Amino acid sequence: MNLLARQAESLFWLGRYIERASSLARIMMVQTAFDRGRAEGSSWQWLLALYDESEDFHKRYDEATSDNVIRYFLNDPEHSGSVLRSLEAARSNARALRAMISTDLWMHSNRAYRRVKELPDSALSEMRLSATCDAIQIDCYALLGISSSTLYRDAGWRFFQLGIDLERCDQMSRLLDVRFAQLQTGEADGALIGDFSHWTMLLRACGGHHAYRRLVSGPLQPENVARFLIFENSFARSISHCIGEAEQSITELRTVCGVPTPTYLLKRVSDIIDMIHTAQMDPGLVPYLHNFNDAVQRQLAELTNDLGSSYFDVDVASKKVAVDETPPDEEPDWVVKKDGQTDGAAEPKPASEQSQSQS
Amino acid sequence: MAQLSAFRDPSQPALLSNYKPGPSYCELMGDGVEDRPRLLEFWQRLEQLPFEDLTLRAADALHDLYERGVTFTVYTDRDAIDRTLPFDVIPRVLSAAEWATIESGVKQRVGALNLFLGDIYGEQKILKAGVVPRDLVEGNANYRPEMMGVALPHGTYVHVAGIDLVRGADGEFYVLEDNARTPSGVSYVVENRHLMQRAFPDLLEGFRVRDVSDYGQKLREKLIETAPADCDNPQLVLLSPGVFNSAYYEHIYLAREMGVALVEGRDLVVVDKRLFAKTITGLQRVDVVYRRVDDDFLDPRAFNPDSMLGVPGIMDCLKAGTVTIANAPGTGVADDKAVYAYMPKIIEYYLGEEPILANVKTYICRVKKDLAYTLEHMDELVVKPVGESGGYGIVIGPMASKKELDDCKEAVKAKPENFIAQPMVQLSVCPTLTEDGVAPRHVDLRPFAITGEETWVLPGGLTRVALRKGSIIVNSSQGGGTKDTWVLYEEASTAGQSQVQRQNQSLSASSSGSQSQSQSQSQSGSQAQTQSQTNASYQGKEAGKPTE
Repeated sequence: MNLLARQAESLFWLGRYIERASSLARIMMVQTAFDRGRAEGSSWQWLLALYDESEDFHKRYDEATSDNVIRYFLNDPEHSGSVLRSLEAARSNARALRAMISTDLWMHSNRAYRRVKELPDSALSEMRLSATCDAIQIDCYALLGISSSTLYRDAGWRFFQLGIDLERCDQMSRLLDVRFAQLQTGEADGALIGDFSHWTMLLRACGGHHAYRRLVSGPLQPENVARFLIFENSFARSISHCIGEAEQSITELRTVCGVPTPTYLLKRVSDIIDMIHTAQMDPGLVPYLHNFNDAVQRQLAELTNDLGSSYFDVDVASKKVAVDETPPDEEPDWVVKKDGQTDGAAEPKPASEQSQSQS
Repeated sequence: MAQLSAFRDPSQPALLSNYKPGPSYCELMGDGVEDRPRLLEFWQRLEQLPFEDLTLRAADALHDLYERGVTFTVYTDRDAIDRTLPFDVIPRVLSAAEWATIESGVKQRVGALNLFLGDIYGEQKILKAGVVPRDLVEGNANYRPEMMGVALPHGTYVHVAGIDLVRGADGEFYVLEDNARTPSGVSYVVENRHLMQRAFPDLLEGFRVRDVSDYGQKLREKLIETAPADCDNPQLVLLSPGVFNSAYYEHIYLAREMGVALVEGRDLVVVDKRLFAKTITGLQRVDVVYRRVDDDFLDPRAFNPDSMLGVPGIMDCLKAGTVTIANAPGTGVADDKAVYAYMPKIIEYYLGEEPILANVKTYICRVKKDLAYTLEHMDELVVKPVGESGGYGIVIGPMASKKELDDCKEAVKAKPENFIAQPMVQLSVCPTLTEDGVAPRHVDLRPFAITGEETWVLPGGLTRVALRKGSIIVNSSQGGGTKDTWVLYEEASTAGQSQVQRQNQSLSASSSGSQSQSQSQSQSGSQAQTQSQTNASYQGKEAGKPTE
């Protein structure tokens, strides 16, 4: 039987939530490091602006102290955008997929969730936060590793990859926006956009420091760092790379897996790619980076909706025609049949090839 | 004799030296192990195990189950809490002869259940003949008039049956209950064996225990046999109520073993009396549904209209013959406690045979003299409401308070047709690991039978054990656990012994190879465990604490 639409959706969100938990942990790690040695004391308020969650936060917390914001993003069970809730959602999806994913993937998603759920308060202290976030990241990497080692390479694999790549795009564009979020909350003045240490930190946080250094020599230019994180196709977390991977997955769904794919979905992806190309042509991009990021995030949200309507919501009425055309499942052509032949060998072939296959 | 991994300190008492089974029949000792060489050998191996070693390995085994997610789920307001079913590491052993009786008895019983269902939803000969009272069947809450006149492939209604057996003080097996709806527990049978293989390879080594691991493939094969007749390349799915069902692990397990999709009601849709799955390529035909959803929730159009778990219109498909539903709707009438009492007559009526496995003596309260007896002897009887499943509303006379007995008498007097009564069976016991060492605990046995064209019985079964001292309640909700159930191959006759010995040698040679493999596996298992402890230590908490 083909992949159920519900399973495809679960695989997509499994990928997204693992990546989201990982990114959030990474962003908090950057902030911890950046936060140290600040003249005017610690502030985490910008993180709320970054995820547009000031309002929700203030429903349950009075002040945006570092303790409160850390708790809110790390293990607040009431906050749907916390690391805890992301890992919980990943685990729920893994549970729904339990019959088709490896036991290891299920076991580890269960463990990763439990570890954050059982975090003692001391793990959230400033002294321990970096180690805590690091451990969460490693757990997420383990999940991605198990997935790529064990997931069956059918359509489901493409949906899982789509989830990861779209989430990476989204998170990268948010990360690029950190400084603008700080501007918005008055935590940094305009001059700080050019702050050298901030951009180094960004590079390190997404494991791009070395790659960047290989490509660009000389003093670190904020413009170039931003452009690297957006446009460098060979960098695994760049927006350009991830959207390219997403396009590849969708193409494979259509051509390799034979999944009917509407043209509006293909158009949406190529629109996003065009938008990135256009931005690349613009040498003065960085001052407008915030607008660019906004546009990327909007487009990604639309793309996610399109994926839903293209694949996950099966419209019974419109698919009714195709009902009898779905071919029954067949065994792969390498299966040896009872008569000792494979499907491949049973097909008529030129004499020369036949003798080869017999030998 | 196999090498045990750790030898008992000779200054310590042997594991079984204080074991006294009392008045109950003991599954291991029976009438003495001496004249049964296989059981004697097992006994000796068990005695060699140091108690501490046994306890330690038992704890590891349980942790292993938990990590692997072999759990049932308990729901609280916010959380899903996964619990493992308590597992006792001392297996229950059945000889080939004992198993032969069980197997033929279960086949006979399942055969009769299917014929009975085909009849009551068809010509109703047995009702017309007055063998079973008509109102008992047609007035039963689990009787489904929608099934009248619906022909099923091979006349199979009960594709999967779990027949609960108990063993009395006389050493005989009795049927306590038939489970013909959606019996669960088979995943534990297989997982328990795998667990024993990992944790006690030395106990198992060289023992010729019948394999249980091909249950999934057999199930698939038998279910496909019952596909609609004109169906080419039948598509099978397992329909689960979803992640919130307490048996969800078993659904996962069976779907994986069968290699079929695990679907929920929302994944299926009926178009023109045909059933389809919603896949990413569109609607795909489904021919056989192994459902683990109760009748009431199966089709909101036919049964409970509020059900969100079922598939609207699936009953129309069944009636149109485009789909097979296993087990068929309406089987609940056959495993009802009131119908149970008539099972010996039902077997005789359809098969012309004596039951191979006897019923527990049952007083049917709707029958006058049985009612009188029940009211007179209630303090000695177990009184059960009919039409219920899973041990609800049962009153155990010898353990009930005066008030409970009085209340029960009133209830029985008010509606005698709602009750049956049985004498309390002195359940057999099995050596079981307890805090005070190895002690006798009461057990029952649920063998599983699957039926397509014919019936196959899994050579093993779910042994449930009442872990509390003296308790006869084996249900997991009330302190029950499980054991691995070993069905042994036939013992070699003395004539062919030398040949068999040679065979055994080659067997143990090959199994010692597999043992070294399983040891390295279990080593890597303990590595994973150490790793999880190290990783967990960053939180300053102990690993494996079952908060989730």
